[in-house]
Amino acid sequence: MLGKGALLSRSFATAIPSRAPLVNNNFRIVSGVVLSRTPQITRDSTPFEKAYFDYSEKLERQTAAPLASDFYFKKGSLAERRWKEDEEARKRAMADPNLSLTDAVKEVQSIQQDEESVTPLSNKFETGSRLTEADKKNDIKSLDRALQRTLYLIVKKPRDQHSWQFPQGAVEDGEYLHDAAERELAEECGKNMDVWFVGRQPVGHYTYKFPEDHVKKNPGANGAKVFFMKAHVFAGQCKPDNKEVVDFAWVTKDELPQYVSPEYFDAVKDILSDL
Amino acid sequence: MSLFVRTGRLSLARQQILRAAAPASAPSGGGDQRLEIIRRVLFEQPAKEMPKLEGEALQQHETIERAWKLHQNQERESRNRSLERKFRKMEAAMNELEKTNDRLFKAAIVKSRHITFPRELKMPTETPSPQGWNHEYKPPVDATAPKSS
Repeated sequence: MLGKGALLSRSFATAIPSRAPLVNNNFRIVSGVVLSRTPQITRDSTPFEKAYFDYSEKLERQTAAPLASDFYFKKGSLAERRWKEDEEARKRAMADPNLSLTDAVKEVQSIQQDEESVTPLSNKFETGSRLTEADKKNDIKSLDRALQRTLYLIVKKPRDQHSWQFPQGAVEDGEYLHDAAERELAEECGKNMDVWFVGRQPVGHYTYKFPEDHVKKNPGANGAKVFFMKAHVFAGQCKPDNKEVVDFAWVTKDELPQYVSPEYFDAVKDILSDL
Repeated sequence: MSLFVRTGRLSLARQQILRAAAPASAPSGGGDQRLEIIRRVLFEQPAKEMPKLEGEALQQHETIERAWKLHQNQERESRNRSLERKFRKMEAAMNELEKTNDRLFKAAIVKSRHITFPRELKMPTETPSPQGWNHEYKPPVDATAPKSS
């Protein structure tokens, strides 16, 4: 292998890098990928936040000017009638300390929606649901799950101990960290993902020693130093190659300890986002 | 001149515009009503009278406001701590890389002058797309250059 590289480097102007993995001090240099799917929706309000929003809404209404309805609505139109019903509901809610303005309007609008079938309003649009099918089924492989949280890709190696981890692979001679990370992700998880790497700097590292039987089988390194590179996924799905990687999952930071070893989680947890 | 500045809710400039725009005769039909409506919406600023809170109501209001500010502070502090942890991890990784391999470290330090971010890196919305996540994405056939900054 080395001979072939040397021969070719004599005949061509540029040297073709050998496929030997980089080793430093008996530790193999490995590039890992923290591939994240960012939150797709805003997080739910806490009960305190909701209570404060309702309080502020009522306070704002006391000082705000009444809406110039004759400017915004055509006299006698359906939209004007709907808005007048909403205003009546809001006025009733102002006197009721337990009812917020938004809840009062929601009640009236549900009644209005029942009438929709008779006289539909022209501009209607469909919104997606915040709780998806994947949430209900708890589908670990789906990217539609936990839309408020960040999902991270973990892959399963075909072994008993420490099987789940972030995708990683050895950096080859002549390659850089971010190149190795992109290559390993494409090899292990397929090319059917729209991925963007956030630059050349690693976001964390983890050093570990190989178990003894592994060192006997693969001499050349006693352990590995993994440098994690950050990446975002915008579309697509992971497709394991079934050679190095047999399974995958998209998990939140809270669910990660269920899969990876405690030492690995300790090394990696500060890289990840809580939300 | 100073009298107008002190008494009027409307600024001097706005008062002049209002006077110039007002018709000499009284409003007399549908067309003039619309002008009046538009003028009112554009120029009038009704005085905002904050309800005077006293005693227990004032204490309640102030407690609520303090609780909210405390909540905001706590959120901000936890966000800052999380960012600080991420930064320290990155710093430790770069230090380790410097000790490990000089060539990789020098390559990692390189920063492009023209860093761009992809359009797909969008902010979270209140509701997701009705189509959901595109699990069937296939990369375009002629894409040779990968996305990188």
